[in-house]
Amino acid sequence: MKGRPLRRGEPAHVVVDNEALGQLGTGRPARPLLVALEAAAATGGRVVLPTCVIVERDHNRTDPGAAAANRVLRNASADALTSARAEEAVTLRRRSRGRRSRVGGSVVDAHVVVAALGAVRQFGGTATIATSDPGDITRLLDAAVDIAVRTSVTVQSL
Amino acid sequence: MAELDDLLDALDRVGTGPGRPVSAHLDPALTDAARAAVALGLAESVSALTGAALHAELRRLALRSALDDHYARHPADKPPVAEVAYFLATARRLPAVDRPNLLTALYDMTEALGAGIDPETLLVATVGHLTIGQGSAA
Repeated sequence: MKGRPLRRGEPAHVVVDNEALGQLGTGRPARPLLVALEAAAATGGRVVLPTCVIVERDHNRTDPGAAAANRVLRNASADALTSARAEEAVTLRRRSRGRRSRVGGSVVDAHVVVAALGAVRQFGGTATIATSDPGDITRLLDAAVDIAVRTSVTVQSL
Repeated sequence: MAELDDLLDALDRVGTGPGRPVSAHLDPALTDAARAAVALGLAESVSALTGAALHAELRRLALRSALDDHYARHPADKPPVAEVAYFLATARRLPAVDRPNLLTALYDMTEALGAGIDPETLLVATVGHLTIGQGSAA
């Protein structure tokens, strides 16, 4: 396999989807998520939590009980669905639509993907989306135009 | 873990209040480098650069500490270094992703030698090994 050149120290960001947030909330994340978090810790990568995921999961970040349950989650950076993010999400949904549907992927999935693309653009390195729904996420990701940024994002199935 | 909670509480408040001057002893060369970076337009100001770097490092330390706290309670959860290195190879789309056995073998070798190794160094060693192998084959 021919790949990208090795750049030591590239931050490996982790973008948290619904299932990953659920695992972090229980305080017992499964091995694949822990590996991703270890990679972030080893490289100075960020743990990114899209705000749409917080709503979908009905998660209260300020709940003292939840905070005590998992300190990793408290360290996450919230990614807001700004108007710029929303516009990019709309574009991805339109470009990834199937034959029968007007738009492709859910609003939350689209936000997760644009949050990952945004993390790479802002902080460099790579981003891995930790999700239980790799199919829809991958379709949305494949709709991203900027190949250099798109290929810096991978999808990890939980 | 009260100290870690204090750290996380403080990180939660970053950006919510006005900045204030603080006194810090920095290597003069570091200050010169920061000023040069600002002059190049790479950073808004020395203060912004210092704050951003400090924030990023504190976040990294907090994540490291939170994970170590988790492993202290659940030692079996700690992933092997080779698995983390393989994850990085996948995320970076490096050729090492096709050679997980080589990654593991190099890790086992360093362990046998009693030399601790981090995922980044293991990855560099694996990519280097592959590159030398390609050179020999050519």
